[in-house]
Amino acid sequence: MKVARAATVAGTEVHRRFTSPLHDDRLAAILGLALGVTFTTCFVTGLISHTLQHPPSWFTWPSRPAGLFRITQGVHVATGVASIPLLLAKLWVVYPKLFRWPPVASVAHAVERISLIPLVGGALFQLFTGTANIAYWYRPMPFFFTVAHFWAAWITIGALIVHIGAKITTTRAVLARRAEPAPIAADDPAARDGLSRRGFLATIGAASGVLVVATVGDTVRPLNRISVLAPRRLGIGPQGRPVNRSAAAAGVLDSARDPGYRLVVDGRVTRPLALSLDELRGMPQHEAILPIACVEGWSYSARWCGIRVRDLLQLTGARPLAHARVESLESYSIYGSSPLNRLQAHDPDTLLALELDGNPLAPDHGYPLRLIGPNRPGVDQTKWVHRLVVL
Amino acid sequence: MNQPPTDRDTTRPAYSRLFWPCVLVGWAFVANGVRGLLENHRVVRLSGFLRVFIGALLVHDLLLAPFVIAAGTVVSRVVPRPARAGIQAGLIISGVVVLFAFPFVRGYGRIPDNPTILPRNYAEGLVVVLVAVWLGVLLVGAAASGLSRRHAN
Repeated sequence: MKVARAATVAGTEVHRRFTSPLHDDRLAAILGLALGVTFTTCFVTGLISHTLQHPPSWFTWPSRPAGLFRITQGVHVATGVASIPLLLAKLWVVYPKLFRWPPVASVAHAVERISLIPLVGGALFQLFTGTANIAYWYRPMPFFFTVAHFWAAWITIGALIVHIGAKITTTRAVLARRAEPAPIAADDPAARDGLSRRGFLATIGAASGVLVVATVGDTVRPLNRISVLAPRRLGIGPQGRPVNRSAAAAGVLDSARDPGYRLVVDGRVTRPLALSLDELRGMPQHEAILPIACVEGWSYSARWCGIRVRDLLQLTGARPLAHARVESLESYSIYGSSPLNRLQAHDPDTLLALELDGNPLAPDHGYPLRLIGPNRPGVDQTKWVHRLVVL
Repeated sequence: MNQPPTDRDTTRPAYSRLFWPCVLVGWAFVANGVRGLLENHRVVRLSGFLRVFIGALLVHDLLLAPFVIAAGTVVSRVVPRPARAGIQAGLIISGVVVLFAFPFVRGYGRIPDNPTILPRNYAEGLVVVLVAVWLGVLLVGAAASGLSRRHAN
């Protein structure tokens, strides 16, 4: 008890040096709740994206609705961006607590405070690396982004669960009280007449809003022009569409234009096939309007035309519930192949596309043949496809 | 939590009975994250990971937060009262926008073979956003002072 009282007294003493009345529990609770919602949203949507790209055997992601991944990943990035002002504000509000003395008052308090290291470190790490990634700024990330971002998310969310357990009583008590005006630090007139608590929250909300509006236009079409800080611009790129990896960067320019190109369909089939470009063009073509949704949050919808994967499975005598894998000419990349589960493989809109918006694919869009299917991450819409392996 | 006022509760007033279960579940998540990082140490490169993880903490706690607090102190002493809240709001939003826009304005991510990456003029974009922010601050300030004047009359 004595220790706790001394710590409170000392804590109060240090706290008095931070004169702003906005370093208070009510603001900390409200911002904490907001961050709880945004970080949970990012975690769930991130988990979806990760599981789609590394599907466990028991998991069959549906191929419908076609635009679902576009929404979950758009929400992931926009929510992460919106969290930046929230996190900085929250850390500023609670900053004086960093200097409380003595640093811990009980065993539980020690556990709570140690858990702040993965919480604050993880939260800053996630928002910094996420932002650097959508800005294609890889230099300050001396590691593979997706893997680090994914596992750091577990660390951050775990520490957040501990923090919620530690703060649930205070948060409830603080929010149940009627809001009183924030106490003015009486001996410091300079701290008066600045932002009120409500004004501060409105400012942080506005900052989140400004960042989201300034970036979300590369997936929300009507805001394309307004989003002056978006990492992409719809309308710019080969055939007016952005790309992540060019044919030159993938090193496939020559092999894609090789007249000897064949699409090989093999694996667990009774009649393997090797089809030339002309033979592919001579097959029944199917048209679908489908989005490409990049994990970085940008997306666009386009009209694709090509051969149904389902038709190729039938033609080669695959089992009725067969699944498959497509392989790219860009064979050395980790994104050089992608899986099609049985729902995706048999969806009537899963295509090996030859055309985009009525024209042959540009090399950067995957000429001569690319996979396009509903409700899939952009990295799995494999370009420069030369093989379909039936499994 | 509305717990019955027992002796035990008065000795540990701040922690609900959910605390220790949350610690268990939470640290299991943390342990899973650490396991994942260790298993993938070849691509994650732990030294690089730790550098950024701890670096982010230190940069925030030792540089950014003290800088913001110092700037806040200056504003609260220098800016006259009627304008103070507006200036604070404008500076907070501008600061966050500048911080976010930095890698875009510098164009670190641009690569020659792909002009679809970072295709905009981000310096111009940043200026546009900042002008919009301060116009917004002026408008809200004017509306607020109009309201309070009417209220006073």
